[in-house]
Amino acid sequence: MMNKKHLIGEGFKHVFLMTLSLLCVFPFYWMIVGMTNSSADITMGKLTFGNKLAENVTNAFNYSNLWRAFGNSLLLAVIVTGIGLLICSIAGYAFVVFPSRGKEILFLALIASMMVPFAAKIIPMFRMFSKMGLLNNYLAIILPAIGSPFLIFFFKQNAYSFPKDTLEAARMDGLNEYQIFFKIFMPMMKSTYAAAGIFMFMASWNNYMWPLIALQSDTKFTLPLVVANLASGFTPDYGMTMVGIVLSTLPTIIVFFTLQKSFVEGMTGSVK
Amino acid sequence: MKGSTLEKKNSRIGWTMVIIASVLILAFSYIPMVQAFLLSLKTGKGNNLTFGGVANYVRMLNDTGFKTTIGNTLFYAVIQIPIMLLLALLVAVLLNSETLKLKGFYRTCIFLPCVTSPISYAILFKNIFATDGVVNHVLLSIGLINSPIAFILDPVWAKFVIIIALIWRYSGYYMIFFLSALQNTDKSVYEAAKIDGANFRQSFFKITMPILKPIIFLTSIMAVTNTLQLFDEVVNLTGGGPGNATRTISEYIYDLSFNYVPNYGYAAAVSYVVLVIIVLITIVQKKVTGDHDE
Amino acid sequence: MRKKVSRVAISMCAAASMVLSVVAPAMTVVAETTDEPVELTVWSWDKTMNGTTFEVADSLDDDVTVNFVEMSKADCLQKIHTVLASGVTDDLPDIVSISDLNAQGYLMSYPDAFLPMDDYINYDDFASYKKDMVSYDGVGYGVPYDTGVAALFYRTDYMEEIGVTDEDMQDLTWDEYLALGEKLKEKGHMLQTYNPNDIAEFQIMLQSTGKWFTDNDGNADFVNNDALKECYDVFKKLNESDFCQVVSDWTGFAGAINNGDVACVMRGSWITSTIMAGEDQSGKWKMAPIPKMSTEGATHYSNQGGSSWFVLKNSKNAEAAAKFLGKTFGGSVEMYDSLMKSNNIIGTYLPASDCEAVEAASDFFSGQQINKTLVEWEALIPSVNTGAFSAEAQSALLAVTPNILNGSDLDTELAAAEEQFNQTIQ
Repeated sequence: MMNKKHLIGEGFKHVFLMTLSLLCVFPFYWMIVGMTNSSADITMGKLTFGNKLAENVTNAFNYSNLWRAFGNSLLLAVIVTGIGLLICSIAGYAFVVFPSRGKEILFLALIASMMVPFAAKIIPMFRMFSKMGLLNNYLAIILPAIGSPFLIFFFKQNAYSFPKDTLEAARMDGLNEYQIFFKIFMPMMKSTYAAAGIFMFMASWNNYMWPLIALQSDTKFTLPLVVANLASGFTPDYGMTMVGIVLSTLPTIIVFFTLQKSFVEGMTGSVK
Repeated sequence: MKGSTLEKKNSRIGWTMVIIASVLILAFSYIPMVQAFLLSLKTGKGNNLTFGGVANYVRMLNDTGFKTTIGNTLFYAVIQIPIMLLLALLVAVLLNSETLKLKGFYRTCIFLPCVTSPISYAILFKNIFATDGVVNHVLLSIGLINSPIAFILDPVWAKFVIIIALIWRYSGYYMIFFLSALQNTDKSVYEAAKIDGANFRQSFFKITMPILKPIIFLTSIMAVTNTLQLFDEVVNLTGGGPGNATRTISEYIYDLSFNYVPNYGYAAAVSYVVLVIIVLITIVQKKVTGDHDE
Repeated sequence: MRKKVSRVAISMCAAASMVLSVVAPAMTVVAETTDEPVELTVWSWDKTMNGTTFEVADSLDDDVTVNFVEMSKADCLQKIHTVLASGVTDDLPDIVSISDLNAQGYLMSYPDAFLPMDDYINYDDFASYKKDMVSYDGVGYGVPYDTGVAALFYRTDYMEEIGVTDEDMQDLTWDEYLALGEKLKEKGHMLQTYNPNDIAEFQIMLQSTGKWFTDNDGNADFVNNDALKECYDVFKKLNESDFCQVVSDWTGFAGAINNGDVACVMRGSWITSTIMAGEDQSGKWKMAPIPKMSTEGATHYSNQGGSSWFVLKNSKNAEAAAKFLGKTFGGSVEMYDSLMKSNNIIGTYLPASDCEAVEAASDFFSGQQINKTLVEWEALIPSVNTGAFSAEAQSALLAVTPNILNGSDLDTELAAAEEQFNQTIQ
């Protein structure tokens, strides 16, 4: 009896999740299909594979230096994700482990900073980086990106579930505060780092408006800027645009695929 | 005595740990923000600026463009955010099950929409919701409607198409934050509850929800911030139309700065009003959800 | 203990700065040597069209090399705004393209940012309506480039089905044109596309009568503008008709053309490349003058779109850039000839209007001398003062358009739009 009910419940779950998955995958499928069709076929809504793949790929890569842009984006994303995770997670951790009135106020100030529409900050930011002599320099992209209020917030909220007794035990064992963070907290919060890594990678990878303004020479342009050009002519060629779009979505999927495993593992490294 | 030196030392360590990220954020956000505020007190076109005091803020009171777009934006937030977060939470809890098969497959599929480029899914969404698109076909064939609906071109339906697109695109994204938080919880707590005879609903409300509370607070603030700054989806799907029916406040700020003959002062003033609105909503959220440390 | 702490902190900083120093050297700009040709940086959009144009121009001038930086149009315009508004003067591009309807706005917003071009080109060499668009306070700043002579492109095979000849198409009124829709519908074709959220066709219709959204002083000209009212009259008829293919964006629009859904397209001449993307329709299209409105002063000739080049006064090579533009866009018939051959680009440089390529007949357009016809029409386009606020005017009108289509009183709605317009431009 209990088992039967359980099975029906499982069945419902699968039907629900499967429907959802199909709805989510369909546009992705369509994007892949689009890569193999002509622009006219895409605008007419064709849903089956065509034979234009080679042509579209050739056109896309002839049109722009997609690999260079891909490399630029990847370099930026790796640096931003790496440094960002480090400095934001340690900050989020400290907000919980060493709470104080001053830090509480600082934290609110950090959170408020993400609530100003970016369009209002563009011109002052441009002026600022010009004064620093950093226009057309990747530092102009990296510096504002690695300090992410959201990421600090995310680590802060997750640090609440870092057990107090683990912390005390580590202090008893004579570990200093940095060792506790690097040797205990970091390995234990693997799934938090995984989610944060996905977030940070995506934020950097899709960053559009600021790189558009801050970078001047097209050899430094990132992938989203170059892909946007593919579809911007008076006669957009959606076939080759799809090639660019697929190329620009693959890395995020790979990152997700790699990191999602740690969701399954969770707190297995828990030190008791 | 010993306690106080330890406290001092810990306080110093604490500040060292937050300092790098904080300085970066403060420098690159607050310097531009202060400049933007000063700009909001100036009026004029392009670089021909003169000091106008609160003139820009007064101007908003009579600006139908501002009122319409802020209204649309809040409408999106009110409908979309609760549905999206509930869906994300539900899926995360389902996928957190130990025994569920195909977990990885579902997880990847449901995450996929948020990596899809707006250019590509906008084309597709418009196809699906076209008068001769899939949705109309289905609705016609099951007899819900008698004639096709021009979803994208109808002021009311167009809003819902955007809301559907947002839910579709971001539920999987918020799901990962819930999922990762669920993974941080001790499995033994659930097992103990199970032994005590707790069913799914009980363990959800008694164990899962309290654990997720900080993350729910976080995601709701994030969602409000993102939705009130909504830009890409609307530009790509409806371009703000028909008329101004789907135009958002961010699109309006963009137009004021870059599409019209630029009025940077007014655009900055509108931005500050958006900031104030988000902050107010956040305070309410904090009261309602209750942050962990309250 | 304390040592350890600072060591961790130091190593963290070191790691960070190491990563950053790897990135930084890649950024440094290589200094130019003076013997080499001057490198001019151009910010523009549409590499296929504008990029090719600069390649051709580059090949005609040995003193310069062109570095064409492509961005999408909206991005390009945004970037120029940001750079000029910030007052930053290093790393400026030398030449930027600005669409004609935006030009007055830039010239008004950033006094002294653009280099006056009167000394480098002779504005009398260009179509007169273009000169007005790129001048401010009597000074010419822009170098006129392309134009979008408006035309009515139609499917000859569909017209044949309803017994309409090419001759019938030459002198249509809007009523006659709309009447074709009924007949086409019976044969299973649509007259044209219709997007209730896009009033771009108004630009064509208004200019064909010598009117615009705004008057000569830049004030809204909505309520007493008979031409605008006629536009809405036509728009309402399209809205209520059953012979239009309803679309919501460019994709749908282009799809309807390439799919063979519609018999007619009225746009600037740049639409030819979209039409020609439907390769299977070669030989089935022709081009006629646009339908004539009934308002006083109406003609069959108009313009839609087009852009011009501007030199930034504070750029490193402003002088060289101005000379280059004068030599090529303001002086080379050869360049326009070659552009017309390769990309069907119709310039606004009058001396080029009898160049060789003008005579060419197009196979796609049933052997018609497309270029020659367009150049002839170009000279007949009424000049209008489009002012600085075209985008604002169209936004204000679009906002009330759903009400107008729903049958609300036209005068009331236009008055409301005028109020919104005045709000926006203050």
